[in-house]
Amino acid sequence: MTLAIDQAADPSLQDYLTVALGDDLFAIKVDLVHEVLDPPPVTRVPNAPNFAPGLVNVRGNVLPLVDLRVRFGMEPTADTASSRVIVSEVTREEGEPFQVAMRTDAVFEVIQVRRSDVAAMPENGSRWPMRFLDGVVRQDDRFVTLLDVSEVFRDA
Amino acid sequence: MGDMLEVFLNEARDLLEQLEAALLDLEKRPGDRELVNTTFRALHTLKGSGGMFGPPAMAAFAHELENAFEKVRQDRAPVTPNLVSLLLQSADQIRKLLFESAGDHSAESARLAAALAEEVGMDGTAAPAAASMVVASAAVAPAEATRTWRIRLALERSALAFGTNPLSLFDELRELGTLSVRADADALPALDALVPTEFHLVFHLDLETAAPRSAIEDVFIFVDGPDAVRIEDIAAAPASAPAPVAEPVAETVAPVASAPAAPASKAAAPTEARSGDVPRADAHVRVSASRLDTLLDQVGELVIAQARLSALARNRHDPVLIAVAEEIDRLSGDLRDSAMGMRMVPIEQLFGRYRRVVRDLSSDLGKEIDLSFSGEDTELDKTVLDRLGDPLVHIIRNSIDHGIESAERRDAAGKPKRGSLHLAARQVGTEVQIEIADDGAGLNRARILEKAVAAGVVADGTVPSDREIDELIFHPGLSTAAAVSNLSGRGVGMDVVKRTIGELHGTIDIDTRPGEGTRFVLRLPLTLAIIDGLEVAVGETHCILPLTSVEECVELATVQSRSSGGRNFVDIRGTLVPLLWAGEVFGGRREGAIVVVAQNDAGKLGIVVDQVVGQHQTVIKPLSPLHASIGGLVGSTILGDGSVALILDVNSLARHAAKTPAAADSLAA
Amino acid sequence: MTKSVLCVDDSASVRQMVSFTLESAGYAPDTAVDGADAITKLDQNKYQLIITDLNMPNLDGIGMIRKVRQMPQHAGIPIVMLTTESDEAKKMEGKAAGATGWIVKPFDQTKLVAVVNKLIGA
Repeated sequence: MTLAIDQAADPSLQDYLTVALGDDLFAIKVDLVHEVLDPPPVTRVPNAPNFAPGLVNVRGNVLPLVDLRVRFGMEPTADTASSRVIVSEVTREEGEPFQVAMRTDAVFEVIQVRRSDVAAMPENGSRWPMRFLDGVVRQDDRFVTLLDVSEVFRDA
Repeated sequence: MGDMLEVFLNEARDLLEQLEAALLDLEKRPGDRELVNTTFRALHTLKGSGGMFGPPAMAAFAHELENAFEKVRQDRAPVTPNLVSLLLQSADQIRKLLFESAGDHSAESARLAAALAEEVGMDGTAAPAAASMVVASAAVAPAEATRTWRIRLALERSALAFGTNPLSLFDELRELGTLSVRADADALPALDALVPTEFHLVFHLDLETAAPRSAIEDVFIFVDGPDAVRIEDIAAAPASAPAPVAEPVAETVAPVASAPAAPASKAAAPTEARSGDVPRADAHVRVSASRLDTLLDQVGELVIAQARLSALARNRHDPVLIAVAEEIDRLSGDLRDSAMGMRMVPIEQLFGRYRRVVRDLSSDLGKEIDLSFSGEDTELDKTVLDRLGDPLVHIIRNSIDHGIESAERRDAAGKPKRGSLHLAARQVGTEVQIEIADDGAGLNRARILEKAVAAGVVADGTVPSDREIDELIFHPGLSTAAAVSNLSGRGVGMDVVKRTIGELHGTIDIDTRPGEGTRFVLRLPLTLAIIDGLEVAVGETHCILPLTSVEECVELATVQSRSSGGRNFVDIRGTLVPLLWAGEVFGGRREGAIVVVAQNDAGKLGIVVDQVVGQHQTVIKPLSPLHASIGGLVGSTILGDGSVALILDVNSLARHAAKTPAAADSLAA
Repeated sequence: MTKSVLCVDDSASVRQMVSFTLESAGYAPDTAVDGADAITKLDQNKYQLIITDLNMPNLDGIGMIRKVRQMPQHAGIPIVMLTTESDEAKKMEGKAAGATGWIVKPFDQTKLVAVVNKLIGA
């Protein structure tokens, strides 16, 4: 974890957890992330939405397993050694927040994002649904796309 | 201490409900003495507690109510329908004064108070609350010089028996200054005539104190009887010996004894206990809902852990361990039932409130309605019940406002003049079903369709089915009231009703027949439940069926061989049971080995699964919003080995299966 | 020894207030929800003082006071009635039935403690 020493003081800085889906890097706000774990066994749910194929048991709680690859229009793949599941909180406009278990191909580090460094998504260039995304930021020589988790899981 | 207010507010809520119920009954039986007393007691307690814990406006208003009703209690004013109406409105007013303290309600309070006074024939306003008695502290005014007082204390015969302790009085006087006491036993009868509990001594006390006279009088506040206490100021100078007693002017302690014994001629006889069994007050404890939630969560965790224990015990093949595991299974089952029971309240709590709603509506609209209930003791989880309140009220209002016709129209149609509204509740499997049925005119489909087309919800020219038109009433923006009446048009709409019921993971169906009436059927799953479940396997997935819905399990091969049409129906001992292929519902093939015969609303249903694993307690964990609307599923649970199983609901499965064509390859819905 | 007080009132908020107040003042309060409940408790326990409302279901204050005065094990126990300012007749009736003193409702905690101290204070 590469956290800058003076991060606590600056409100325009926000911590994000970077993850990989295929070749692309995405990031989720750290304060929404409850834990990161190895993929647990999945119980398939019949007639479920294609991006939420099943249920998992995380320390006694049953959470929906969400395949972010599918949500982003990629083909689902089998788990690899680097696959991880992120338990994240999803807030809603109406109703209580709920937790989901998001499957990702790999989890990397926590980065600090300065709000002013975030660029808007280019209108045409994006293959992904615009409403899921909160902007893009450069990290080293890669682009990291910021996710709006509550939008990702708002009913399609 | 802050929750003292909360206790009072909860108490006030209960009292207001009791008051309303009593008033509604009193309206039907105005001569019932018990009801009059119950009503009075509620008003009296509201006034009393209100005075101590509530806002002054509420206490003053409650005081007026009690005064007015006191006349009724004394049989000096009759119970009239108008009086009941005013009192019901007054109960509403008290609610406003307590729970809507922002805003000025004084005009309405004054109006009601005046109307009530007039109704019972009271003249003028009630006497303002007299200043409460103050027990003076023993603080001595520093400016005053010490004086000597002679006090003659002649307690009544019954004083000692009635709890007066002269020694306490002397102690109190000693706090004021120096006291000397001389007892006069002249009035003491001879020993053989003496009744030991009677008091005959007269005390002569000399008190040197700088305290004012009122402080001395306060000591004797409870001493009663004419001439019991005489206080006399002897000399301002500190006296070393008590001065001889001059003829004292009889001074009695002012407020205490002077009231002449009021004739005990008030008509209200004290409510003595009836001879024989006096019922004990119901011992209830108020528990916060969040504590119950915590308890239930803990019980749920216990059940899951106990399942793991049982699985382990079986794997170890250790009979002693197995026996203990079974014992724990039984105990945790009992614990579960108790914990569940705590959150469940009978729907009677909700139905009871509606009596008032129906009464008010029927009087406002000039329609006479007979309200009846069945299944009031059906129990629901309290949080579900709380959320159902408003939707049900809205449906009832609609029924009375739009459904039930005016007396003339009903008469012309050959119906009884009085409309009838029936609320029913019952538990079926893991569902609670609530019905609201009226015998009114039914839904006006033509009008609904018209509105829908006008609002652009339905394309002009389409001809929706009757069922589709009925469902349109749940569409936001479609209000079919000709005038948006106060009662049913504003704020809450049928769309909100449907959404609320959806949030409770329930469904609402309409059954309407023009000219005959409308029936709303709400089905709510008992999601916050720990149930006895039957675990079955469908392919790789394990599912739980509520045991209460299951009648029996038979081998598919056995029943199939005997019947015709073996894919859709089987014959079980003469009854035709439709089949539901669980494998197919799950997106697989029509395969299976066991038929679980279940009972649902429409009758029996044979659910075909691969294997029956066993039965055990199941903690229902609710589904997230991502999976909540999948047909057939009602929750999930964690099995003994840590894997997740799906909990199925029979009705929901049947409904889902009915919607999808029974082809094996078209089940992506 | 801590002195025990029985508070009889059908209002939960009054019971709670009295208990809290008396406990803070060093007494040991107990409560009953009406006259009948109080008699049951009095059959089993000993108290140094009874505070009672008058208007209660099942057995009202006056009836309860009369019964207590017939119980030899509670001979001489001080009984305080909670009355309303306008109910002089009730107060008289209470005294005739055997009440020792009274507190007028609405009352505050200071007044309550003062009366209790007056009758059984150390």
